[in-house]
Amino acid sequence: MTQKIWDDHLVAEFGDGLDLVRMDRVVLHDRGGGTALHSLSRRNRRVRSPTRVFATADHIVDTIAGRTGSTMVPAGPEFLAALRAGCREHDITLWDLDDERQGIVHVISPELGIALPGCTLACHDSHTCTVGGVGALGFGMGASEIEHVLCTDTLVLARPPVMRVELTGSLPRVSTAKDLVLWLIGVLGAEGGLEHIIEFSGPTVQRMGVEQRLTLCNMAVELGARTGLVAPDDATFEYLHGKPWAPHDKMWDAAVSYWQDLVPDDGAFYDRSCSLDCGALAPQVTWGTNPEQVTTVDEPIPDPLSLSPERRAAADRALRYMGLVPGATLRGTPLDGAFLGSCTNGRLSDLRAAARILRGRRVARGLRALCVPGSTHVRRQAEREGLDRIFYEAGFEWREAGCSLCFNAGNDGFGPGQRVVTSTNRNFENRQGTGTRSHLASPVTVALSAIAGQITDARQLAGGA
Amino acid sequence: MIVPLRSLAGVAAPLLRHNVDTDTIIRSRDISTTAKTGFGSRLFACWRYAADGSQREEFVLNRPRYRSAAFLVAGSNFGCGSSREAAVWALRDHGIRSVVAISFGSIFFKNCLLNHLVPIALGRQPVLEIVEKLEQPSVEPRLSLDVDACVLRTAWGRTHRFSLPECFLEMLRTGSDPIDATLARIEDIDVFDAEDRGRRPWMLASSRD
Ligand code: SF4
Repeated sequence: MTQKIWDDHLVAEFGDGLDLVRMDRVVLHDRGGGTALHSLSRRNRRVRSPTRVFATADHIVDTIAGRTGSTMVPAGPEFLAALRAGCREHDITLWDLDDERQGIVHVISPELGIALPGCTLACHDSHTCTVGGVGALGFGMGASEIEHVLCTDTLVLARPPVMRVELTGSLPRVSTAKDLVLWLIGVLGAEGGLEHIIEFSGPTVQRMGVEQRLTLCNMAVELGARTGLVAPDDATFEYLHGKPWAPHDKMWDAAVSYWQDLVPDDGAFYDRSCSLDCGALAPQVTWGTNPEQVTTVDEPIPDPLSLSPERRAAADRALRYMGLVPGATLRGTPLDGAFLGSCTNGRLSDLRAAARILRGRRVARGLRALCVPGSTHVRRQAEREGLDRIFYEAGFEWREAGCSLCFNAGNDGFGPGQRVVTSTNRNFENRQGTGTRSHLASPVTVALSAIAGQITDARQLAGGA
Repeated sequence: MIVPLRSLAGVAAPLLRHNVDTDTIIRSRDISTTAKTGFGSRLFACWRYAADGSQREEFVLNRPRYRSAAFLVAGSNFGCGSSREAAVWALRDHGIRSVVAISFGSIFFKNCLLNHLVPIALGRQPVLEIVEKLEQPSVEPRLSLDVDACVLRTAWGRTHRFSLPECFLEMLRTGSDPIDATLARIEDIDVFDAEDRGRRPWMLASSRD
């Protein structure tokens, strides 16, 4: 499938294994989008196809209720101003803070039909791989490289090797795509897919809803992969049908028949392949400061001595930072905070899953809990369904859409030493606040743990609830 | 702005850690400007400075022996995580012009090249050996790099070959700009566009309706 998409985007061969590859869409955000556009202007360069470029504000915006067009993030106003000025000057569509289409780039790209099956999409953000969930080839990059795409509609790339990850078995009811991808990262390692494009396939993936596939692909970068991809199918088409930027009418029909041809051939060649059964997958929670440092919620944290020398040093350091000891189980570890949101798990289905658990209950005393919808659209829809009330009554802050405390932009972080269960994708040191200890988990685990005030095994739900 | 780099010689600092992410290389909250420079003092801030802002003597880049490093020698998957180019700008602003590692995060690797920092993936054994030497007090912790020959030399007489695609080598040697190189082939892109309009008309039809 990757081959087909690549071949249909190959502009020229640059020699020495490098290809000039067409990028169909570019998405910009406030953290670096303005930097790139400004840098182009300074050098008198033009955006080649402004109609293919979309921008929004998500990273350095406030998410507290009643936010204004500015931001309390230190230096944030400079970033916002640069993005706005750049979009005006280069005639780029900007979904600003007052726009119903605003949201985290990786949430709105599929939601608006900007990311389509078989298209290539570039963004100066590592989680661009998320759009693989609808069968789009997303490429994350730095600001300078996005300038290249803006100027030329292309990227210079070596054709990445392709890795097939086939997933079989039915996920147990309380285990989600998030548990699955955390587990995969644990099994394969943070460089298990290094440089590769990962095609996720198999019955488990086919049975997943599109939003779960987006969650799965979101963390492909945490496997070191260049990007991740799921073959589009009827579920994908149903999801995209009627989205504002997806094709309509006759064009829709033409598009679908092209998309249907993207499915992998039976004998397709892969540089690497693996097949994993996830029928017994239990809820996963990270214990360290890299997503690969993960374990089943009720299993002991590994002893660093049992790991390879390099991993051992990293694990020692991580355990010290996290304030944990080998052999202990994560289940029952007391928490200070809970975060629900991000491009990994800030979509409607994530919020619904958490709300089902929170309905009629309250978070533990003293625990700070936030729910930050991934987009304004998600927020509005959740409000129509009454989810905001459920979160609010459960003691969660109900916020405006954005990245929020997925990372610490300098103002609104969790505190030093605070232990947080979070539906995000990175548990790096200081990621959510200076000295903050982040435990990555599914929205289900986040909700249950918030109520209990400690990391909780979602399987306790299996009997009833 | 772009300085050609044909060769480089200087002190090398060992930082053999696995999965060093770009959040650690530079924290989000330290990226406080839309400019592409001015990040040097924030490099590895969470490791370099104590809570009160003083330097942690034990951190490798604070040790007199490695303070003036032009090379950083790192573990595997160095620069994984966020695509923030400020990670490269911070290294560069600090004076690092080349990172030698077991392996790299792929976005970071490309960001290095675009900023004329030379990323050299050497694999496990050579890197472990270099780090061991760099840490020996009796050894002069210096490396030199010859971009034309794709060779890395150590002060103790070892030579390691590495490879990079020719167009990137050319970029390093001449200081040429990759956007100009692609714009020189704009006709190829025009031809592609025309064909693509026939093949996938919906990609246009859906734009800006
Ligand atoms: S939600 Fe977090 S991981 Fe996703 S784009 Fe925003 S900051 Fe990055």
